[in-house]
Amino acid sequence: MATAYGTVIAGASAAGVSAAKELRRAGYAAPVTLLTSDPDPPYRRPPLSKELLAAGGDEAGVRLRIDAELGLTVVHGATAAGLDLDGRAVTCADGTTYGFDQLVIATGASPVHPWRDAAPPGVHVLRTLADARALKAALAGATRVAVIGAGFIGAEVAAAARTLGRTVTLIDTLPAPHAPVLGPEIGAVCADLHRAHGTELRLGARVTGITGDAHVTGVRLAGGETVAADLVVVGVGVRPETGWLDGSGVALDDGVVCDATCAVRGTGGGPLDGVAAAGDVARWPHPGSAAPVRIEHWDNAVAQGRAAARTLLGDPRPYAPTPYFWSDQYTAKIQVVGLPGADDDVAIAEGDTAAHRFVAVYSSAGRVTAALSMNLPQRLGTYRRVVQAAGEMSEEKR
Amino acid sequence: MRVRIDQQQCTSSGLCEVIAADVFVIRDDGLAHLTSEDDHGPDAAYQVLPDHEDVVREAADQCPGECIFIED
Repeated sequence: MATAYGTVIAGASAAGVSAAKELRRAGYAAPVTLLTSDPDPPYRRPPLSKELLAAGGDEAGVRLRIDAELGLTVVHGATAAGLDLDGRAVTCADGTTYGFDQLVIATGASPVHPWRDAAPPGVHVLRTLADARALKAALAGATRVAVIGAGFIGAEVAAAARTLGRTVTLIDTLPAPHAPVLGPEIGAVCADLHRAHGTELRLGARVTGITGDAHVTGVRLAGGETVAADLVVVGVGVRPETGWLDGSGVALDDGVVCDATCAVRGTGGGPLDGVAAAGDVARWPHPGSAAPVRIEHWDNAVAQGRAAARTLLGDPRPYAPTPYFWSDQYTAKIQVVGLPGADDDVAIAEGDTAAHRFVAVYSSAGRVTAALSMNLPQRLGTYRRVVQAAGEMSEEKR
Repeated sequence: MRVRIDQQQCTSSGLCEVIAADVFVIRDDGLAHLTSEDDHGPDAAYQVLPDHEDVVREAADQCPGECIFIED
């Protein structure tokens, strides 16, 4: 029996909106209803830590284009709070229930904030457009910025703050920025990039607390030292938004467990009828990785939303993309294609790391796994082909 | 068929160049450009050759920035 809400999509960021558009592109004519806790119309997340924070950056370019003729319904203030698989309905935090014929789980992820309950004013995270507005306003009045966490969000915020002329300290427990993703060698190059632009790095430093009462005054490190700051940004990673699925019968394992086609598995192991997932929340088996992957990047969210929609439309295909992401830090554009491993072998294929202009090729057991370009974007297409060819070769051998 | 690129939405993924290198190229600004712009200028929509129509559609469908626009 058709429901009033047709296909319900929990989440209205890249993955959810992309799934909705793909449904329409394929001729799906029933209602498509996107539920989102976010008060803002759907927007692109990458600029929030890049262009938006820069001098002159505004919100004009961040809106996600959704043509009215697609006939999508976006419900704001609709925070998914529970899923009834037998009754085929999503219940929101305000008690409203949305019956569905098919469901896309695209609730994304939320920032981890160990000090959320104890933080004085002046401590920020960055995930939503509202977060970005608040951070941009705070940056305008700040002099000393401390960023906890040298992942991509932390590094981009540090770079943006430094470019605005603030005194910036970037703090991480690890020995180099991005080390868990890009490995120690490229991590060291990224550390050098920050230092070259005057950002102070405190690496191998554990944060034990945030100081200040009426307003933040600093970040306390293990050993007793305090890094003075009147603005603190916490960028220590995200957690997939799966709390609303606890006990629902959806299989969860640091994300929603999917099969190779993005169909969601039940706790019994088999795929659930008419339920798919995409984006930061989805974990699925990828032929380029021994363990199932969960990818927190924009391009994947867009492509995986399309794949999830096709699966729901009865055209399931293994979703095995060549992942891609980029990061803008200072004047450097860092681009990564493939699935780099932190322990992979790294060879500089061209350019010069000291000049922050090079391509690095990652390989494991003699097979190319990924390529990273810093400030050589025009060379990325060439290396994308190399990475893709290596992936295809490995599939033939299996 | 005509094609144009909204570079403000370009994610520099290079997918379009891989799919349709005769039509799209990533230049050293990191953004996708039409190969035709040397002849027609950056703002001009490009009249796609019949042989390239399929790959241009494929590139538009796969573009993560959804910034390749086709006018039939």
